[in-house]
Amino acid sequence: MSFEEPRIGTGGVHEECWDLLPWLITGRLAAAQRAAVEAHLAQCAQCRAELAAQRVLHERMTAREAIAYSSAAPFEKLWSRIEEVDRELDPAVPDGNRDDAKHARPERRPPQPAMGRWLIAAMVVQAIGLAWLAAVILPRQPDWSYRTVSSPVPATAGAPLVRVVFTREATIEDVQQMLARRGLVIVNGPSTADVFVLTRADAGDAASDELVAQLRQEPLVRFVEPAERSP
Amino acid sequence: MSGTELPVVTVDVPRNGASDDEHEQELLRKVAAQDREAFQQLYHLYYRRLIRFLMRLTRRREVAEEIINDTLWVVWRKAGEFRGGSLVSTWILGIAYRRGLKTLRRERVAENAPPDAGETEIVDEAQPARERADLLEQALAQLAVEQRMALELAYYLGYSVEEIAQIMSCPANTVKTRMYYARQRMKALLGALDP
Repeated sequence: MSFEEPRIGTGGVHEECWDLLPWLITGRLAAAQRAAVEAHLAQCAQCRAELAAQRVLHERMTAREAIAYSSAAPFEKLWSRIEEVDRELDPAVPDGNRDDAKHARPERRPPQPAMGRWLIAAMVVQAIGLAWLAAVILPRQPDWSYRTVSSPVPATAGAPLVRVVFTREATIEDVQQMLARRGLVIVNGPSTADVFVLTRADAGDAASDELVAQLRQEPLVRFVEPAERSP
Repeated sequence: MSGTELPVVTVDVPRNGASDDEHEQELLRKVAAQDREAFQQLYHLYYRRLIRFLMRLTRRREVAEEIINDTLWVVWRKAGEFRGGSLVSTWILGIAYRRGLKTLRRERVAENAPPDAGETEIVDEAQPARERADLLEQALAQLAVEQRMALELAYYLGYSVEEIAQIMSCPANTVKTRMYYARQRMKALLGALDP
């Protein structure tokens, strides 16, 4: 009995067996599938040859890594980000600490010498650039006054509010064009964690969830979530 | 090889069993309650699983770590929304996969169009382990992203067809199709893959 190498979608026992060989190797087939594949293998030399070839590939792909990466530094980086945003969202939270033992960190975060100069420089450039953007846009807002991100956002209109973090690659022009295209304005930020609060330039009754969904499609938006309006 | 000899293969990869998932669900419940020690445990657990998976996607460690942190950030914020409709690991891998693709599109890192037929075969003649690993990396890099990830999810992380379909948000048959082409390409690139 001779088989051509199966083509996807042609159906049949041989093709099904051929498709499932990788999971026979990894032991992730259901018992009935495994029995069917093994029964076919007993009479199909081509599938047995493919099984042998795939075993070699599997062994190579699961070979132990020569390099082991430490997760400690990247965790500290993420943790800093979480603490920073937590403080902004809830100013009552003490700096890097919580009251109960459950929330206490196993060890204090050391200073961050690992944060490269390039990152600091990039943050400074981004902050300056976005501040310039805010300066260009904000004069259009007649009742603008300085606020921090943690300050209550005034309930001056029915427009939804969202908190946004842009990607580090986002340029001033990119952000400006996106805001103009979507009819959005910055009402707060950037915070020290580069969080901006955005709203629609024209007050509308669209839900913030809808705006969040739209902004999640924007490649230059890294994070977005609804912001609660202060009473 | 005899058709009747099919030894059981023990897969030594960091994939989930039922007990792992119970442990991870417990960790996730604690994370939902803002338990930061549980989050740290979950982070270290998933860093190990994700770093190579994402390095194969982006080939840059700093980008891979950025995706890991974006993924675990979402886990920290959304842990309370997890309803157990899938394994914890397929939920988290799915987030990482989508964020990885988004990052790829944004940064155009390591993107490879499906190679043309008749591409040069990579010769692998009993090289030392390091060279063989390098050749494997070169061959994997020539696969389309979805094919490379399907192969990685199946062979390195040990996920089933259905789990990969959940992670990649595609039908099970699409997973088999991606694996089919990935296997064909890898055989062509690495030669006959003889033991």
